[in-house]
Order: sequence, then C-alpha cells, then structure tokens
Amino acid sequence: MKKRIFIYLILFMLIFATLAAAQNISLQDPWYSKKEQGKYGGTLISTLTGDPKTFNILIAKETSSTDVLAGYIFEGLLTRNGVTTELEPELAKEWSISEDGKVYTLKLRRGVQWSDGVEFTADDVIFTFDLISDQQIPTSSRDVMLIDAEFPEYKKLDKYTVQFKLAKSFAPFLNNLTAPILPKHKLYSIWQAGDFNKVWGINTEPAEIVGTGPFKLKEYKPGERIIMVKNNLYWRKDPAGKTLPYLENWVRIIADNQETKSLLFEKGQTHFLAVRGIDYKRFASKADQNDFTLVNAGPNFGTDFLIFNLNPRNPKLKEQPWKLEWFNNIHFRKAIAYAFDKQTMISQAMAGQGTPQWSPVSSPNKVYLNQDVKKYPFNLEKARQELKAAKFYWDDSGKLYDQNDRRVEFNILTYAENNTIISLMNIIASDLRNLGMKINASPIEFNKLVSKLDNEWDFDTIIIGLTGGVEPHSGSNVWPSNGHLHMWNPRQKNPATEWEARIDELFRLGAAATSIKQRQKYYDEFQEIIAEKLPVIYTVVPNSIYAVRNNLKNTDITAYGGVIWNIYELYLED
Amino acid sequence: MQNSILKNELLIKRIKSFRRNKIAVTAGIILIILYLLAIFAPFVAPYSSNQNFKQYFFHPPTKIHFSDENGLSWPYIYQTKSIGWAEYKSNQQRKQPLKFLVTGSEYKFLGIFKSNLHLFGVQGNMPIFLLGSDNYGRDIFSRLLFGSRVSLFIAFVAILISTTIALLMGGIAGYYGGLVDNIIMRLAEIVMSIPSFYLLLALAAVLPLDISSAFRFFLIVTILAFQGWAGMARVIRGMVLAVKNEDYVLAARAIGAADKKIIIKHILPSTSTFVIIRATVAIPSYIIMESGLSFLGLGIQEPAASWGNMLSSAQNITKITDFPWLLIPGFLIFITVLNYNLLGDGLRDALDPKNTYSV
Repeated sequence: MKKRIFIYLILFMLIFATLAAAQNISLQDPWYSKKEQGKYGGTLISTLTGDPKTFNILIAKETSSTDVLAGYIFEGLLTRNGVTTELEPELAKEWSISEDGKVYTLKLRRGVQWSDGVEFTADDVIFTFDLISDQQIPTSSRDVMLIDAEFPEYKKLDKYTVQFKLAKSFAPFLNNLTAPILPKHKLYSIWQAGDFNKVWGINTEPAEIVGTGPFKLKEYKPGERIIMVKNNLYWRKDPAGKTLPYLENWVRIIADNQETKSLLFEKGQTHFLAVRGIDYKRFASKADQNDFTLVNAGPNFGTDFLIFNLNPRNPKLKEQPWKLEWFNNIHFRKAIAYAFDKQTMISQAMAGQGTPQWSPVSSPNKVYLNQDVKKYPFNLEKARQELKAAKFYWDDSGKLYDQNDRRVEFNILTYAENNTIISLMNIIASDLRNLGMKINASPIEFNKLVSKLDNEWDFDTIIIGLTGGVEPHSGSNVWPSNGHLHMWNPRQKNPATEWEARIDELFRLGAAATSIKQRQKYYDEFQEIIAEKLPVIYTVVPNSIYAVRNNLKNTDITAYGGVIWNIYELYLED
Repeated sequence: MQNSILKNELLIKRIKSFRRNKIAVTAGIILIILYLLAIFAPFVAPYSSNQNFKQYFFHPPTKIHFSDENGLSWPYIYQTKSIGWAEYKSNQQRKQPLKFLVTGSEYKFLGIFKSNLHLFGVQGNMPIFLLGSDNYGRDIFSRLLFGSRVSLFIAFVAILISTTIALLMGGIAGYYGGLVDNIIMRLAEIVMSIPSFYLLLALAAVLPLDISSAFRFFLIVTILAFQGWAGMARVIRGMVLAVKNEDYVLAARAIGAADKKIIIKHILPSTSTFVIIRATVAIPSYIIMESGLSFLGLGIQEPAASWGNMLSSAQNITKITDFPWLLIPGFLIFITVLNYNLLGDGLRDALDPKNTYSV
C-alpha cells in the first residue's frame, strides 16, 4: 500500500514537473489565422489510399507514409502556401539571403513546443540536418540538398537562429528548407546508437511520435484507420488568439479503391472526396440533396505525354534504323502533335473535366508556367502537310510510306494500371491510324514500362505521366541531357543536339539566378524550346474536383493544396 | 451392313430423345443464331468495329419510330445533338429513314469476297446505335457482333486442340498400359501441376508487342489448351482400360487388326459420349475465361472487340448507373454460357446409355 502511494506521488511530481516546464515556455512568435472565427470540436473523417510503411518521415519513400505525416505531424522551416504556391515561413519566422546568394539566415519562431511540451530550438534544426547529411540514413532529402555534390554548411548562430552556407548561388535551395524537422530530445540517443533507421516504425506506441504539427497520432489499425487528435500546444492561433486547430479528432479511413471512397462519401461517412471526371455528373446531381458542394480546383500537377525514342543506343535500331530517322525528323513529330485531338481526349477520357497542356511546366504552377509556348491544335490537314514536307506519301488505300517506300508502323506503349491513360492512348492511336500509320498500341505492366524507359531503351513511343511541382529545378533529372530520366535519350555524355545543350545551360542559369523574375526568363525559354522541338508531346490534364460537405468551413480548395492544406483553420459546423 | 443399320437406328433414337427435350432444343437454336450472327457480322453490323463517331460517345440506344403525325410510317430515327457531357437531345425536325441493304464501309466476307453491303443503316449523317455507343463513340451493336467472333470461336479452337491430344494420349496410355501408360500419365500430372494463372502472366510479358492482339490471345488460348488436355486424358485412359478387354476388342485383335485401327475404330468411339458432353461443358468455361483475361488486361486489347474487354470497360459505378447499355456484353456472356450448359445437359440425357429409348 505504501509502495503504491509512493509511486503515485512520483507520478504526480513528474506530471507536475512537465506541466511546469511547459508553462515556462511562452510562444512569442505565433501566427494568426485571417479566416473567420471557427467553432472548436468535432471529428473530421477522410480517406487514405494506402497504409503507411513507417512513421519515420525522413526515411519514408512512399506517399502513403508522407501523406499521414507531412504538414500534419511534422513541419518544415518553410512551407508552400496552398493557394499562391509561394514559399512562406512555417517553423522559421523569417529568412534572409545574402547579396551573393550563398548565405541563408533563418530566424526561428520562439516558444514553439513539440507535442510533448519540450521547446523547439535551433538544436532540433541542426540535428535534422545532421541526420539528412548522414550517409547511413537512406533518405531522399539528401540528394536534392547537394550542390555540385557538396552538402551545404549549416550552423547554429544562437538558440533561435540557424545559417546555411552554399558553395555557390543556388536558388532551388530555398525549396529544400521545407524538409520536416525532427525532435532532437527524442531521437538523438537512438541516432548515436546507430538505430535511427529502425526507429518509429508502424508498430511504435503513438505517444512516442512527437512533432510540431497541428495533430498527434493517437491510434493506428493497419488496413483500417489512423486516428489523430489535436495538438494542444500548436503554435498557430485563431483570430481571437486561441490555439488552433479547431478540430478535436481526425479519423483517416484506409480505402485503396476509388469506388470504396466514393461509396463512403455518398453514405455520408467522410467529409470530402477527390472526384474523378467520370463521376462528376453523378455527384453534381446529388450535391444539393446530400448537402455537399463540388469544387473544381482546375488542372492538377500531373502531366501525361508521349515520348519518342530518340536514343541512338536503342538495341532495336539494328533491325529498324529508319524508325530513328522518322522520329528525329521534326516534321514527323509535329505531324503527330497536330494529330492530338485534345478536345476529344478531355470529353472521352476525362469526362469533360480536363485542360489541354502544352508546356512541360505543370498547368497550375502560377509562378513558372509560360502560357505563350507554341501550340498544336488538332488539325489532320496540317499533320498531312508536315508529313508531306518530310517526303512521306500515301498509297491508293491511304497507307503512309516514307520516301524509301517503308510502311510507317510503330508501337505505342503505356501502363495497364490506369484506365485514363489507356483511353488517351486509344484516342491518339485512332487518329494516327487516320493518317495512314500502322499503330500497335498496347498497355503493359508499369514496372516493365519503366524498365524499357530506364535501361532497355527498346521502345518506339511511350505514353507516361510525371507529377510536377512548383520548383522547376526539381525537373533537373528529366530535362538536362545527362539526366537519368531524360526519357527520349537518357544519360548523354554530351548533348546530342543544340537545343538540348541550350536546355542544359538554361537549367544551370536558372538554378544560379536568385531573383524570381530572372529565373522565370530562363525557364520560359526552356518551355518554348520543348514546345518547339517536341521530344515529348503533352496531352491533357484532369481537373482536380473535390466534393466537400457543406458543414466543413474555412476551406480554401486548390489543385496544389487540396482540401486539407490548411487543416489547422478548418472547422465543422453542427 | 446389319451393323450400320443398327447404328443408324440408335442415332435416330438418340436424336428423337434429344428433340423431346424442348429446353435443350431451344438452347441449341439460340446458339446457332448466335454463331450465324458471328459469321455474318460484317454484313449484319451497320459499322466496322473500330469506326468511332467522336461527338457521339456514351450515346444511349437510338429510338426507332414507326409512326409520325400521319399515322404509321416507314421506320425512321431522329437526329440528336449533344447538349452537355454525354447528354443528347433529339431534334424532332430532322428525320432519317431506316434503310435496308445499304452500302457502307468495305469488308471481306468470310475473308474472300469484297463487299460493302450492310443489312441496315440510316440515310443522313446521324449514325444509328441500336444498343448505344461506348466511350469512344463506337456502335456497341456492331462491336458485339465482331466481339462474338472472338468469344465464340476461340473456345472451339481450344476444345479441338485439347480434345485431340487427350484422345490420343488417353487412348495410347490405356491400350498399351505398362511403361507407356506410366510415362504418359506422369507427364499428364506434370502438365496439370503447372499453375495456369502465372503461366498466363509470364506469357503476357514474353509475347512480342507488335503482333495483333487477336493473334496474341489466340496464342495464349492455344497454349492453355495444350495444358488442358491432361485432365481429360486421364478419364479417357480409364474408359479405354475398361473397354479394351471387352469381347469385340479381343475379337478384333484375334483377327489381327493393327493397334492403330483398334484404338481409333473400336475403342475411342466408346468414349464419344463423354467427349461431346465434356466439350459442350468446357466451351462456356473458355468464354468466361476470355472475359476474365480481358478484365485483367491479358485478353483481347483495344481497339479489337471481345465481350470480355467490352464488359471490362464498364467497371465503374457511374458508368453502370448512367450508361447501363455498357453491360449488354455481360448479358450475352450469360445467355451463351447458360445455353451451352442447357445444351450439354440435354445431350447428356440423350446420349446416356441407360436411357430407354421408348418412343
């Protein structure tokens, strides 16, 4: 009996001690919401596409893990605004860049607390960058930090200031500061023991996982749901100065199938849903009676395009060298571009909810998209003229031959897992057949397609998609001629064409320039070159459409941020 | 002489017995109609299987009108206009009469005669969609007819291959016995233990991409048929074992007939009942397999049509609720499989030796 009282006493003292410690930290640099004052309480219910593989955000590779964590449990120094797509301070209060573009100084918010009450300081930032630069940790954050293969220098100036020194001026570095910050007090000793890669797996006790974000992990049932609760120590405040978020709980049901997600939403079990174009009409007719609103947030960041194999190392060229001749002919590529019937693609593959794309920069990228690149509106007559210009001809039955009397025949491949992209392929193939070409269009397994693109190089043309971001330099593995994903002719030692050489240069210049105006100029020219030379031909982008229950307030829905990018401000009305 | 008369009598009795089974006869007639439609597909279908009317995707089945303001009239359809995504409104001003034996797209009838005659069509620029159109604006009725060629005939080929091999292997194994029997039966067991689904996935990855999808599918089915003989061969071996010591076989051997002749003439005919029934029951399983494979993306690929891939393009709640005509291929698969099973049932009753042929 005595022993038990003793234990209670110790527990009580411990709790008291932490509470006292917590009270000593006062938030000096809060952030105030400009949205209307909301109501506290309620449970938000949404869906997740897959199970997380780890709660260790630094080594998480798949979006099923980062979707759970990034921005909700862990935060970065900077973040991108969901509406403007511009960088904004998050855990940092402000930042400054030196004249020569090499020194970045960041002031941190004072008095921000981890969800267990410990104060967040420059030590946590330094610790996180120690982790990122540790070669033993398999993190994708490291490679993007390297500038000329060198990791930037970083140091703590005082408790609330950190500084980064780069080897040379490199504007995309700012984007890297969105990397999530991890708590030193929780992980330092584990890292020292060499166990960092094993920590915070999916079996971890939820209370162990400590972040600065608006939510804390409460419970995870694999294959069923993740339950998150409000972080009462969060640093963002509502207009009245009370702690955000408004929502008390957030339940995320794991549903891997779009039909299941739709049914959950229709039965009123979730608060919002990403709607496919094909379902738009059905949801629109139900919106009023089921008390939700359909929001069309415009084109998303995805890009689907057709790639020509311009690689002279293609093993199949021994048998069919003429295919490279055709594909290298700019008139041939333009003819195919004119045969892309984007209006039909939108109405048939995307149920009318799409936008044509012409530039390699994603359509919703408000900072860098060049609207004035060359466009190739659907016109089979122009396509025929381009083919004639390249000395192709047709026989009596309308079959197309090149000047050496070879029947024009090639394959189009795409991946079998995506019905929309298969529809795009069929629409393209059907119009190319109208031009007299013999087209073998087949969907194959995704992994097989990637290995053809990446190391077998034996395809003719491929239709595939990439997801873009706001920072154009994140395409530096695709567009410069030595890039691993330079899909039409990867990993070149020297650029094969003049325009590829110019793109290499533009990417170098664009990375070194510090002002956004200057950078825009370089990336505009890059977009013009791709649209003019057509190594890839873009198709159409589906619009992001969200169905949102009317009782979810303060939303600011965009293609970039989705519904919950500002989850800390959202609230539920009764 | 006596023998052949007896045989004919038996056959007549069997046919009579079959004809009394009304359900089986109806099933047989329906199947014959389906096969005739498949053979005459290019003539019966108003359009070719790939012709797409871009502006008329997801068009509902066209209504055919038989009367106008003046009472009864020659059948006609109204032109329709798109008034939103996949929404069409008919224009009462623009009538287009239905025509029979019209000229349209060119085709080769039975692969020999060139023709451009179609059973029916409409005059004017509005296409007729008897059973609606799909997401590319292709006529579903035409595609069903062309698709039935794949779905109905490939099963035949597969059955033919697997039955031939099974008869041969089962006959030899059962007749000779001993070592030969041992080797063939062990071989059959090995073949049976190959997991066919993974074999299919491997085949799909290995086969070259530039052969037409119908040919590719044909190859897949052929290879599956080569795998499918084993189960049947086992049963046939058992039957042969039972028959080979019958008096008439022993007599044939005593006269000095060659083994080949004994197996083909005297032993295998006794398995014919089993083979016929087995085939009629197996054909639907191939039809279902085709739809399953197309559903998985291993079967016939766009733009070629088969019932399976037409059905697989309807896997979405919206499509099923808003465009229910996309499910018609499923209905046809159902009809065909059901009729084959009814026919098989009828045949089994008719061929059953225990059946007393009382007329």
